Formats: sequence, structure tokens, C-alpha cells
Amino acid sequence: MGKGVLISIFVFSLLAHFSLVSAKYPNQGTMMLRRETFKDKLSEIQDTRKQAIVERVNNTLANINTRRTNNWTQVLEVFTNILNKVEEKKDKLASEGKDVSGVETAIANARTAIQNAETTVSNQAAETYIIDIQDEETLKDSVTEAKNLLKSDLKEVRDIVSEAKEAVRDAIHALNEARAADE
Amino acid sequence: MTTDQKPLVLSLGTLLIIVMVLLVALVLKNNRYMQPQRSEVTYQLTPTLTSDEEKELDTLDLGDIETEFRQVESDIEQL
Repeated sequence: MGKGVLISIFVFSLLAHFSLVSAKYPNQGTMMLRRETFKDKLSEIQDTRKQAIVERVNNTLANINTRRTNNWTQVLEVFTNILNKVEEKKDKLASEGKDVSGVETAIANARTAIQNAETTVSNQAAETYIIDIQDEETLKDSVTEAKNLLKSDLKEVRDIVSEAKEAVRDAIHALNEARAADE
Repeated sequence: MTTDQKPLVLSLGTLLIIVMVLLVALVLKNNRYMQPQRSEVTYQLTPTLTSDEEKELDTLDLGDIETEFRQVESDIEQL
């Protein structure tokens, strides 16, 4: 009787643990399955030269995504630092009684653009690109498809980071105009 | 001026005219080449309105996506 209760508690705890883990990382299971499928399909390829290329490309795609998103994360931090300097200078102008309303609007727009870019970059960093191998005949198409998907995703993210950059530039220009207006 | 001296004076006159023409041509040519140099100096002396913040912003590289994929695309071609 007592043994049965203990086993029931153990099984229940185990189930609760797995449900919590899968709730926290909803795509983890799918990702693991895709990785396993990739390895299985890769081992089925007869041509070892092609096998090596596909494995290399698969790893390179992951590396490109990591490298790009890391770089953009750092760049966005610098955007924030630059914007903070602009804000300090704007506050100084305001304390001198100068009209800084245009600068304030531009700074707010830039902060929104940076936040938007940060979210996009963070989501992109969490993406995984695994080549969906069907068979040896369509191998090139499968690899090209994965490459094209990552490439177009990264281009979209880059555009959003670039928009944030231009928003920061607008804030700098607004500050320069506010300075020049009172000189 | 004697009749004997006349050809000598004519030769010297012709030579003088040729030298003058060459000098004028040389001056014109120099002026033509000097023009771009003057423009360049004017361009360099134009004051810049770029602030330190904008200079810092321009040093930030967002990366070239096409370049990133060059090796991968070359690998795919071998499949």
C-alpha cells in the first residue's frame, strides 16, 4: 500500500517536472527531434564528401546566426549609450532655457526603435536553422532552402537594426538643430 | 639697318614670336592643371558639421549579410 503511494508520488513528480520543462521551453523537444532526424538522415547519405559539406553548412548556419545576433546586440548597446549622451546634452540645453521639444520627440522615437530592434534580435538569436534532409537527390535544394531562410531572416533583422541607427541619427541631428537655433 | 642685317633681324623677330607663343601656351597649360588642385583645397577646408556622436554612430558596422554567406554558398555549389 505504502509502496504504491510512493511510486505514484514519484511518477506524478516526474510528469509534473516534464510538463514544467516543456512549458518553459516549448520548442526544445521539437528542436531535439529535428537535430536527431538531421543526424539520422545525414548518416544515410552515401557520398561522404557531400555528407561533410552538409554537416559543415549546418554548423556554419548556426554560427552565422550567433555571430550576427551577438554583433547586433553589442551595436544596440552602443546606440543606447550614444542616445544617453544626446539626452544629457539635451538636458543641459533645456537647463539653459532652450527649446528642446524636437530633441525629446526624436529621442523617444529612437528609444522605441532600439527596443523594437532589441526584441527582434533576441527572437532571432533564439531561432534554430537545421537542414531538413529528404534524400540525397534533393540534398542541394534542402541545404539551399535552409540557407535562404536564414539569409532572408537576417536581412529583415538587419533592416530593423538599421532603422534604429537612423532614429539615433535623427536624435543627434535634432540636438544639433536645437543648438544651432539659439546660437 | 643695312640690307645685310635685314634677314638676321627677321630671324630674331620670328624666334621671339615663337618663344612668346610657347610661353603663353605654357602659362595656359599650368593654369588648367592648377584648377582642380584649388578645388581640392577648398573642399578640404570646408568645415564639417558632424558631431562626435554621429562620428561614433558611423563607426558602427551592421555587417554585410552577402559576405557572411559567401563561404556557405560556395560549399552548396559543390553538392
